[in-house]
Amino acid sequence: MRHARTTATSLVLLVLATVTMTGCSGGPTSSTTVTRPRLERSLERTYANRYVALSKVTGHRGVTAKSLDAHAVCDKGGPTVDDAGPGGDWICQVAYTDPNVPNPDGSAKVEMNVHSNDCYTAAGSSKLVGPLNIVDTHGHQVVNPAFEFDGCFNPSGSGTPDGTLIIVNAVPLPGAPVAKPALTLPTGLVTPDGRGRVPLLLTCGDAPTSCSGTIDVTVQGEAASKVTYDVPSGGTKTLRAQLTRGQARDGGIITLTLHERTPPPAPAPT
Amino acid sequence: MEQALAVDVQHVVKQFGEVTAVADVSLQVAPGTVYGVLGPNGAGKTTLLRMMFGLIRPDAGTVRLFGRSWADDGPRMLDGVGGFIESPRFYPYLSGRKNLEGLARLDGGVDGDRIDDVLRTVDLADRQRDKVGGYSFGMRQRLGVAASLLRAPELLVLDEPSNGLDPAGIRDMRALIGRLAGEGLTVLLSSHDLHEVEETCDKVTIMRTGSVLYHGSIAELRERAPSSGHRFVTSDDDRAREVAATLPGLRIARSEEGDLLAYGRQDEIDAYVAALVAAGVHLRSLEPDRAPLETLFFLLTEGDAAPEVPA
Amino acid sequence: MNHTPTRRPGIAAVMSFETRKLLAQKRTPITLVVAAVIPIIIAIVMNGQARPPKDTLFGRFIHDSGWSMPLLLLGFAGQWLLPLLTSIVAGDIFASEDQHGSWKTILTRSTSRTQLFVGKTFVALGFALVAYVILATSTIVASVVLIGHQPLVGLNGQVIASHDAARLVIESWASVAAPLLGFTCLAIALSVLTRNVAVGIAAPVALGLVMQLVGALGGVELIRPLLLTTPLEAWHGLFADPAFSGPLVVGLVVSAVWCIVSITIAFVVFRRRDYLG
Ligand SMILES: Nc1ncnc2c1ncn2[C@@H]1O[C@H](COP(=O)(O)OP(=O)(O)OP(=O)(O)O)[C@@H](O)[C@H]1O
Ligand SMILES: [Mg+2]
Repeated sequence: MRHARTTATSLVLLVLATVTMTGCSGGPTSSTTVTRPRLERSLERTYANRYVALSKVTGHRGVTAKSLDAHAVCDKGGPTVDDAGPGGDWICQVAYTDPNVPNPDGSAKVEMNVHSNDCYTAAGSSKLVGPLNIVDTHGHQVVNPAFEFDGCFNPSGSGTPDGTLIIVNAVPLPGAPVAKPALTLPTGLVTPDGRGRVPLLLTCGDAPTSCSGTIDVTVQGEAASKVTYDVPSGGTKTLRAQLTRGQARDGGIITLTLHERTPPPAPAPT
Repeated sequence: MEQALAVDVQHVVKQFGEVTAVADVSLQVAPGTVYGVLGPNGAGKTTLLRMMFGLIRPDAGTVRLFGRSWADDGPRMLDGVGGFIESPRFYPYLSGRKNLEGLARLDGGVDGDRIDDVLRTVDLADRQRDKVGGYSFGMRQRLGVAASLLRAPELLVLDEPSNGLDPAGIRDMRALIGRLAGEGLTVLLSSHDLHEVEETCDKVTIMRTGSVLYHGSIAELRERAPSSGHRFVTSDDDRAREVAATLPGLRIARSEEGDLLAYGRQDEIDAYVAALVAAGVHLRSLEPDRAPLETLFFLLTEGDAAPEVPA
Repeated sequence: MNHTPTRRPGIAAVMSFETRKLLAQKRTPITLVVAAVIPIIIAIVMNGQARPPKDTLFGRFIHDSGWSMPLLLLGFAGQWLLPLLTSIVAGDIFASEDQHGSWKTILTRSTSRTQLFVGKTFVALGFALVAYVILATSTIVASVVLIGHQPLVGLNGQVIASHDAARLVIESWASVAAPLLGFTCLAIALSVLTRNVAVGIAAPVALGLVMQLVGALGGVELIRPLLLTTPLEAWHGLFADPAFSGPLVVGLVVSAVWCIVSITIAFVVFRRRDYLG
């Protein structure tokens, strides 16, 4: 029919227009605008600003975006997934300084849902920022500004990684025996030296003679090196873990997995 | 300089897919004439008139109105030309007057008095504030004439202006056309009705399936008309048809009612009656059929080439 | 013969007649009234809602600042409300002549096809802008009156002072004018091509939704910036710290290209077409 024909024609024209425009764009082959560096640089600012707002609510004075000096490192979907593109499986670690709230983990875990329109919704760790509803200094119940928040980043902002490295201790596998290790591992922000080695300050706690064993070092889930240690009981030692050149340049989340050889401390005599 | 022809159509062709709606038609209308384009349904009248208005482009040939063509003059071609194609259409949600006011804007503005004038001319003054959606067919037809007259045309092109009108409406429409012609307007109208053309037009072009069958004055046409057509009712039409085939000059057709129609000079008709009797076909009834001109029109447009039984 | 030379009509004559036709059809004034009233209703309903609509940007701050509602609406309804707002007229202005069989009526006057096309296009663009300004004004005023003009939290978590927020909200609404007019052009093209009022009005809205859907998919990053719905979100950059305007510039160019391509196709078809109706 005549009508069907004109409609079909118009649709074809429309598709042609779209295809032509796609063809004209030609340009970038790197497809997605959602990249790790963009997300990290945006999250640092957003997290810091929301954290400052939280500090105001809880009455902690002197907390500013500057004093927090937040740094973020993100990973999408674990070691097997490329760290680019939208998705709900982005996990970031934000390291920052707040004397009011000590953080033995050295960084805060932030779960991110990143959309294809270069915006994201982030959920802070309630361990550090508290629950959704909190009580302010006047006793009013308010929504926690750092519990969940939105942000958008510049899709043409710099895509160059800034090399931030944050150490996170491996979470023991579920079901594994959870004996408190004798060795204390470092956490938080670290800076590699000129040769791509990061310092690991190891502290041996309550051990019969010394703490010894090996530490598997991975960056963004990729193996970097294995460090063998032997630290006398009650002492500390700084070892260096070698990273690949790429890892040192791009930064990432450093995971330390401890394999202790130290026999468990003898049960205290009664 | 000689005055330009009001209408000068040269070798115009228009095809719609496989159908040739207008095949190599030429016609000239001198200023001051009332010209008829006559033809049965599907003859190509409307298509020809659409090309005059620039609504469709001819595949070949040219149309000039007062020497102006679409190619050279664009919409200026229609300066001084008014009219409508098929039944005129308006915006049903506007009043008759508001429709005319809007169209007047598209003509570069016309003063209110002129709108009053044309509404009075077509006898719509008292309904001008009503929405066109509530108009009868005839009122819309009249509003169409009013909209055409608004342009103060020198040439009025009307496509079957009396189509769908009641007898009184037809009479009024013809009277109006006569009056306008009397004022010196050139009128080109299409019609499938010979009487209308005979009554109103000086000259005529007869068309069938896209081609011109006749050009000329009504007077000439009348001279060319055969004496008469006759309606035969016989006992055996098939046999009667066979008999007719033996007589040269006689032309046979079938009427809408299924009767046998014979066309020819009086002596040929007489010979046919005698031959029928000789062949043993009984004649039940015999009467003269149509007026001579109508017969000619019928012969021209539906005679030989046309199928005897409508499909 | 005393032939008075016909006065030449201009595009203004076409626009004036088209405007009168629009206003005489109930749909047009109703659309303008709805554009004024709907935001007020939405603002009242949203304000009364216990749970803020967190899944759209600025939705979580609905009770905290009057500046968030206009942005929420822009994010939530922009993708279909704006195309609908414009296509009600733009999708109809050509096809309704087919519907009424009135092309032959206006094409046999003294206006050229070009004048008719330009006049109708201007009226459709003009209506889009009027309806959109009414919608924007009503949205912003209703929400500030109902909720207030508190500072707003931006898209880097920063606090934006009320007067800055006011400016950014207005700029954001201004920024969607470009894709809105892009949709106007698209509706005009569909109206001309299909000669069907229903298609002219519904298809731009449907295409808007399809484009929004396609844009939300992963793996289509190459086409995403070329979609006409992407510029509807370009204002996000204004609320970042530091603000960025790259998407606004790209959006402006993309909207212009959509508009020019649509209008050119429509114009060529309109000029060449046989009018048989
Ligand atoms: N839009 C079209 N598409 C296809 N064929 C068409 C179209 N318009 C007209 N035709 C064909 O062209 C031929 C002439 O049609 P036209 O309307 O010009 O005849 P007409 O003389 O005006 O007939 P009527 O007395 O019925 O109005 C017809 O065979 C018709 O079927
Ligand atoms: Mg006809």
